[in-house]
Amino acid sequence: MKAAPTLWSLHELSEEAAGLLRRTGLAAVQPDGRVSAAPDARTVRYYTTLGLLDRPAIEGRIAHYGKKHLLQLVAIKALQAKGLGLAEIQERLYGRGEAELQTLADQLVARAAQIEPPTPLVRRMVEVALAPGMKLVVEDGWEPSDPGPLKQQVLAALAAIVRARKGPGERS
Amino acid sequence: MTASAAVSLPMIENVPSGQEPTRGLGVLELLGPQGRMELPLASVSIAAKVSSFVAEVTVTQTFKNPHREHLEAEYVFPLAGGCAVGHFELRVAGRVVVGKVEERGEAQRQYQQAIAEGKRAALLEQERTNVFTVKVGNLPPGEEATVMLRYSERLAFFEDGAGELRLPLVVAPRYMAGEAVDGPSGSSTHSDTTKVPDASRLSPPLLAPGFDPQTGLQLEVELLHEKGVTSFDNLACSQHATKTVFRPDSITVSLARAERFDRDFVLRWRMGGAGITSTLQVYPTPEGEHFALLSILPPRRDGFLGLPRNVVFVVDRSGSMGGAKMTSAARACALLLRTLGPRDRFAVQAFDDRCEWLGGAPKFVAADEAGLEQGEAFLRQINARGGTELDLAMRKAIGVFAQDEKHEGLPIIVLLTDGQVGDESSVLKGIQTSLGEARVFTVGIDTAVNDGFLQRLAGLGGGTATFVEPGTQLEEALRAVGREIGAPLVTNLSIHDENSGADLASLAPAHFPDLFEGRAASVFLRVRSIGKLTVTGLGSDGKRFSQTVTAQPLALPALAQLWARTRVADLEDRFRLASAGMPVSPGGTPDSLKAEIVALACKHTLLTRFTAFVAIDQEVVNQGGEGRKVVQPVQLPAQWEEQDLSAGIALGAPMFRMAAPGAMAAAASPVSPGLASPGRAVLERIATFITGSGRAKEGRDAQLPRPEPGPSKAELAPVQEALGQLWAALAALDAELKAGRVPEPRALAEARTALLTALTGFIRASQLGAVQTFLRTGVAELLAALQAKAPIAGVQALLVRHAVALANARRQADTLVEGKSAPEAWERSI
Repeated sequence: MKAAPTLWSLHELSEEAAGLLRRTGLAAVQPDGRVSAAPDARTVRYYTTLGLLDRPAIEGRIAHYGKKHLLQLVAIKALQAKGLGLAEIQERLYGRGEAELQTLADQLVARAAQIEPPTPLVRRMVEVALAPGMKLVVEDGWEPSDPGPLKQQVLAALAAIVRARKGPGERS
Repeated sequence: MTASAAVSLPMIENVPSGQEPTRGLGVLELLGPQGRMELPLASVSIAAKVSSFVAEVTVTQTFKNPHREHLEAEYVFPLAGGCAVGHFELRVAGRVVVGKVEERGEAQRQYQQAIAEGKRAALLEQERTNVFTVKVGNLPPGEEATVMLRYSERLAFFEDGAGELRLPLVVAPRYMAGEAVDGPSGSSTHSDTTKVPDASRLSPPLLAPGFDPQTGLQLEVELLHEKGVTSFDNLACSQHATKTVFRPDSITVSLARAERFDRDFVLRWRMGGAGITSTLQVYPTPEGEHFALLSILPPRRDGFLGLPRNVVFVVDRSGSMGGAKMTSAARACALLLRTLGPRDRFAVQAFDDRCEWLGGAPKFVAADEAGLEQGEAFLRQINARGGTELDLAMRKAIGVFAQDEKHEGLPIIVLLTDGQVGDESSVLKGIQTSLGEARVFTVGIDTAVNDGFLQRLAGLGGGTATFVEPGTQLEEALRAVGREIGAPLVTNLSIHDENSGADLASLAPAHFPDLFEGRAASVFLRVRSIGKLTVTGLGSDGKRFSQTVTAQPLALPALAQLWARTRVADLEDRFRLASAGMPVSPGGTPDSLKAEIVALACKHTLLTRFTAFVAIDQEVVNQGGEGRKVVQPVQLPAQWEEQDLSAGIALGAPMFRMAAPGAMAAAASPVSPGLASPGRAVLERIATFITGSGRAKEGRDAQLPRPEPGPSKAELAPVQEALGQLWAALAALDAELKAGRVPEPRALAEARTALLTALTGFIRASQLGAVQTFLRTGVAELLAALQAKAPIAGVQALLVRHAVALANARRQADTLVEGKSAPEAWERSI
């Protein structure tokens, strides 16, 4: 259970984990601030009681934490940020070795980097009725680049709709 | 921060952004169903057979390895306190390997070697009278291994035929007193502490609330009808739903449905029929030895009231006592108050890491109506909080008798607690050394109580132990203890041989327990034949008590192991005192007592704190012995969660309500809804409870000190030389005395001064406490005697008096100077 080398005090470990989570975007974008980036001493002790964090090395009666502890803490926080409860996190992280935790961290970081910036949820659309039963819907601010080919595309799309409606009837 | 600059985290920098890691071997799928870690413990099966108030229990644990690499599984589990584990076997690959008993360190070495050699192996160790650790190593991928152990236990029994069997299923979190220290001793979640040197072996990880490991549990108890017994009445299982099958010669009780490992299985019954009598049961071994179990029932109380009593009630209000347990403890105490008479006096102390007294001071109150009402009011307002500084609480309770001005009445302590502490050793030592005339009665209250400890505590305190489950019918459960609190009916019991060839030196326990109303007292001993024994004693009414019992032969091999186990418990009590440098009766040094325990355990194939079972399969399945290690996490005991509900936090309550007292963390740091279940708050409190003051210094102020350098050869040399000088001077002194000459004090005086000087400049002087104490007491007294030209006999007497202190000083010095291994953590927690 002893992790070597031992590097940080509890406070330093917590800060280190928080910094890492922020830099990698693993737990930073939480609109409601649900995942506390810097876990306090009590929370860390609680994770230790659950075996999610190895117990610290004690030198001169002071708790020391190392790289495995950091990986464990980052993994807990990253999975929390994904909405997992503690029981689910324990089911996934319990008993993992340092190499596995490293792999997990790599994956989580890679996936976090892949996520596109979120698209806005509200978009303004402009609607024009061209004929009974037919409307043209355009995003607000849209400007046509070249109307020539567009006209062809619109006609082709309309023809496709008509064909699709007739299709099943012909087959039966 | 220099520390952060020193560590490189390639995992972050080296991953090209946007690149999905390849799925395949070696890649963790943590978010899908494959991401779940299966736990090693697949199932547990317990089968108990009870006859003649001896239970023989078989426990079978099956471990599986769902991983791709070899597995070492570790499981910390409970067995009944005071039981004798006499058989252990490992079943792998269709083979059965029977474990052998070795001295514990040796067993650990053999196990480690087998693992390194790539062989499957299992190790069974005992941490407390009721806490055990099993390790199964080099289990190949996809394979299962089963370990099976058997133990026997002497059950307490009563004149009215009442019997009780407890099969514990979970090791509860314990309060670990003392400051955290580093130790290599165990793989659990808590660091070793100055007061609990093996805390890291007693604190298995807890399962998070909502995580059901789906470990199979089978449990079956068979009660065999004895001669003269016609029925088992009042069969009751207080904490489990059971189904019962009645047969002509036995009753079988088993679990009615799937259960979690979160509370003791407790079965109680009452035998109907010809009635319970005193008995002498003798097991003749095939080798021609005879092991006897003598059980004596007291006479009926004939109207004699006994002396007035001064009772100190000690009520545990630590964090683990919350909810139904606290209510039950307070109610139990109130019920016991009502058993007192107008001539009695009492005091009530509620303790956690502080002690609070009824009336604000440690003083006795008359047990009249006004006093009792005052006591009940005090009990009603007690709530659970804080750590369990039981040692301190007991010392304060004992102190009340000394402070009391009225010197009449029998001194009695009644302790109501769950017993969930790690520093049992300090508490027991305190009772052994400073209890005086007082008696200690214990009432254990928990769903998973620390029975072994509370039994030993009551045993050393000359009282009795009673166990109740929170929320059950306390009146019925406490009826017996209410009668017992106070004077026993018969004391000073001794055995007189009629024609059995009794070996009185073999008596275990060495002191025959006193007889309490309605409760049988038992001792084990060795005899030479099936004959008669007479027990005599002094009745509380001043009359002589005498009973003659005729032996019945019984084919019960467990009697031999139970005799040995009971004797080991006595030896452990002596070892505890001897290790602390205190005088022991009838003598022995830590080394000699340890040797005696190991010899006894090896002869009788017995698991003790000093021995362990090791089983090694010879097939090599894992060259190099590398693999994964997993410690089985355990449940939080039932009703430990209810304390949270009682604190005003309803199940699934919204976040903001968690600012209720006791639910910390919520206010300080927002947590995700997944963590907001009451279980988390409870577990956090448990984490705080077991950590207590024992946590390492943490937080903002903690600075990382440079590691303390070990003593170099140059630093050690002057101390080593001075130590040699001192031992030589003492040896010369002894030789002179033996030759009948009065020795000169000069050599000893010089050696003492030299060592004191050497120690002042020595970096590890604090590790030589026993040496320093010996220099300032034993050696100083010897010098004074020599300088005063004391007679030879007087000087010799001084040497004898300080022999233990000398031995301890020498051992400590050898440990440091010669780099000899320090006493093992388990030896310091006996």
